[in-house]
Amino acid sequence: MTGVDPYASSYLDESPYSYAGANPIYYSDPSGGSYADLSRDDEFVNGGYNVFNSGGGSRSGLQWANQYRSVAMNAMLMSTSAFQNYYGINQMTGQQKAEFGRNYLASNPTAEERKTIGNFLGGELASDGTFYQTVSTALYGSDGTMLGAGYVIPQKINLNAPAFHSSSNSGWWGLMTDFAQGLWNSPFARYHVPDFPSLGVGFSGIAGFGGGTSFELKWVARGPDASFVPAVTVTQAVGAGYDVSAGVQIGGANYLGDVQDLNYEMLQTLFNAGDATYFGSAGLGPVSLTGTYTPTPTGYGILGFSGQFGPSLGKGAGGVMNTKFLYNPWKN
Amino acid sequence: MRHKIIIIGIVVSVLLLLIYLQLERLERAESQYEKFNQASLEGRISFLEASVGLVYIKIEEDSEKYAFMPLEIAPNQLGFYSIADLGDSIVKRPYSDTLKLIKNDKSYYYTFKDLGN
Repeated sequence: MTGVDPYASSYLDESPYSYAGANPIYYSDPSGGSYADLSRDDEFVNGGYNVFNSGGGSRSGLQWANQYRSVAMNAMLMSTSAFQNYYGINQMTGQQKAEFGRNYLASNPTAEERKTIGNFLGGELASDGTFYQTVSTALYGSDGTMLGAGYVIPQKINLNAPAFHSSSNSGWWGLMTDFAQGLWNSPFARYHVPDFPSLGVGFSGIAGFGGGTSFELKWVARGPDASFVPAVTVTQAVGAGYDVSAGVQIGGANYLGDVQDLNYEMLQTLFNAGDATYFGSAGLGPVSLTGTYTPTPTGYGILGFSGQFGPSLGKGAGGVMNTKFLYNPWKN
Repeated sequence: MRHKIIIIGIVVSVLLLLIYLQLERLERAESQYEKFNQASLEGRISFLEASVGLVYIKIEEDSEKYAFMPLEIAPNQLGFYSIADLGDSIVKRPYSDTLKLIKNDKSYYYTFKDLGN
């Protein structure tokens, strides 16, 4: 096409060979018409720009440049409100914001870019994909009275908690993994394989009153802390009755609540924290059977059962036990 | 018959005792959680212990002991008790559902189980 540039008179101080004011990062000019400041929410209409920042009227025109820029570039060029409007941030649920943030992380943003996107999303976006939504809430006293109207405190809401991750995998492998996990955590499986299997050696010297000690390997078989590597624990018991025995112990314990509550800190029961495991044992020839119950703060206790194989005297005993880590594989 | 009644009596008594002990533990957990939930914690950890799923901490220049049940908020993140050591810092605002652990200039975030209900 030949002819006089209809916009020539508008750019007399610029070279006819330069594109977009010789600043293609800040300006854009797809039609050869007038170029526009990309930091503004202008609309490209009929070869020129219709400045459209008032927010009034229909936005049916194409904000053409935005769709070709990366999220990071849009974040750099747009105002907070423009970015939020363009991506519909304000209409997103917290979970959708977290998903948006995680998708964005796939582009390997810098820490500064991540911080900017986090601000636009209304929170903080951590490098591991966790999104913390910042909300404000009034501060109330323990009696329910408001401690000063308008006094607010920031509160971070974690949107990346397990509850938001019903499936962490995708595809066939994900389906298989989820199925296997569901099966492993089912009541049927928990009935047959305990949450905390254990293997150890111990002795009991209760005749009237007395005590006992055992050393055990304990595994966490389910929940977020599940591992093949066992912890080594020592259990000290005091009780009353008649149970003099020694031998190899095999057993396990089940938490009566949800699998998601399980953590390895449940393996430890400390008298000095006001906690105890309550036990009862019965001697059956060369086998001594022990049942235990540990109350937990969630309202669901830990029910344990073990058999000790070895020389045994006595009918039975009962008492309390304190269990402590000797070696904790989860601790750095 | 009398032998059977005695055994049943013992079993029922033990069950009632365990129910009582569990309810007592639950009640104690609620007050522990309420105290932790209201607290504004900011400072270095001077005491750290764990028992039956709860983590107990003390902050320097604060004689109070606080207990909470931490939950990891990101997949494959190590638990609070695994990462935290004496001398590390924590920050938690009153009624916030998130606790920040600062270790070697790196921040770790944890939520905690609501034991208040």
